[in-house]
Amino acid sequence: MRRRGIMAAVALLAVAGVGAQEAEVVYLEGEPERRTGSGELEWLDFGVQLFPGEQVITGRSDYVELEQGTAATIRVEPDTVFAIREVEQGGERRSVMSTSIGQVRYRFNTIAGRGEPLVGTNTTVAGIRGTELVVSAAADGSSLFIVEEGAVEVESAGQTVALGADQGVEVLPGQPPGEPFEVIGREQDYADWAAGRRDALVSDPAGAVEQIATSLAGIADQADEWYALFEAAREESDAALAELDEIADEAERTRYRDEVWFPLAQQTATAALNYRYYALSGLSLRRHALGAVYLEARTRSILDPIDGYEEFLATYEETVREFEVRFGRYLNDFDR
Amino acid sequence: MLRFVAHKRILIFGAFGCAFLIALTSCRTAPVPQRPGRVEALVEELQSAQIDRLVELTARPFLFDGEIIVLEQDIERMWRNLREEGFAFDDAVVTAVGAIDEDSRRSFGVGADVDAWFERYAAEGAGAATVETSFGTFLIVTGERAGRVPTIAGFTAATGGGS
Repeated sequence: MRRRGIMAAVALLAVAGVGAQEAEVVYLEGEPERRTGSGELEWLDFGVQLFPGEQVITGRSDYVELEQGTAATIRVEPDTVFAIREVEQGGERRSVMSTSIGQVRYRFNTIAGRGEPLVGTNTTVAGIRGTELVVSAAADGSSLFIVEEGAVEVESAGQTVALGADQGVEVLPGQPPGEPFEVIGREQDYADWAAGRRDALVSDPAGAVEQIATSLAGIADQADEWYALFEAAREESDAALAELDEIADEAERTRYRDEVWFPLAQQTATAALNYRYYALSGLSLRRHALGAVYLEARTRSILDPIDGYEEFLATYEETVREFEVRFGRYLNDFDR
Repeated sequence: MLRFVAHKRILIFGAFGCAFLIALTSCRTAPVPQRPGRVEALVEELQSAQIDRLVELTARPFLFDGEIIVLEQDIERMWRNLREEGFAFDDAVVTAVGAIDEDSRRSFGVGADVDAWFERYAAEGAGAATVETSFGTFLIVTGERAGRVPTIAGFTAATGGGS
């Protein structure tokens, strides 16, 4: 039984090692922090390697520049939470660099290694082809993609739009991408865009929560799907491992391990990686978007409730309850 | 007989002296976030400080009702909104100060985020203070010191959940 556990762990680690891409801090200003995979907060410093599962958190006067080898330069602007996560797509393990809130600028020098990089926000993912782009996430969960060079495909709510150089698109939470627009002649300052989104949520906080709830429900559906696959794969993998224990012939053992058990263990690891990816995306949206909406509405209502506050509060509380029901089982103590 | 009385006096004085020293020592060794004088000084600053100072005085991650607030800009927005809405710690009286406990935790509501915050982010020796103001009674959690005073690490209405 113990050997079985060790073999399963080795298989998971073997799969986990593939494609993991760290980023190194090459420049910083202020006192940015790093949130480790185990939930510890540490000061960020020059030369620190950022691994999948970790976050960079910048304050009002902070700025961080990261490099992924020679392949990419990542600039984390002030008041931003930037996360590196991993997901399995099309049989390939890929890093997703995510702007949870705030603004991150990317410059991809070469598209080296396995597949194109993925960037995005809590709700939206974009595939990159040799590009410079800026990805922003606002307090209401909206995303803004601005492509400066190259090409990007932005996907949300099952729909994709293609962007070329000097094009941008806004994606509201829970919605497909909007109409692409030309950036030239419509230069937009991130602060203006973020302020506009915040004004929108202040004017209708219950509506903002409903949009976030829709987005969370979509993310939870994905997590559920992958968790069901994980459970099925784990069951099959365990059964195969039990079968493996019964095989006496060494050659047959090796064949069965490589051809039957190992692929099942890989499937299990992949499914685990993916349901965790969606669970963490959901948590990030809940923390940085739903939390921001609550903060805004509650502080505005500290003495006199704003219009629609009761409706907002009911929607907010329902969304928090629903979040715990749907995501709670996929999250561990270190995630929050 | 005289000798016995002298010994008795020494014993009595010694006992009083020890009790005094113990009381003094326990007072001095209470963590800064749980010292009433320091918490009162914090509340005074919260009442009058500029927004930038308020941000400095606020620990992160901050617990606002049941929400964990991570970003400095959100802390700034919280204080700015409260000020704009006319809220301040007017005529604030700190009516109780102590270590955080189950009651203080429950005041912030029930949920995994509140549990996670108290377990992972509350500072060692964190305090809980009940503050009565002209706008109602609030509970603040105090954290690591920022100069002479502890930081404010959490804030909610004392009736629970704040909302």
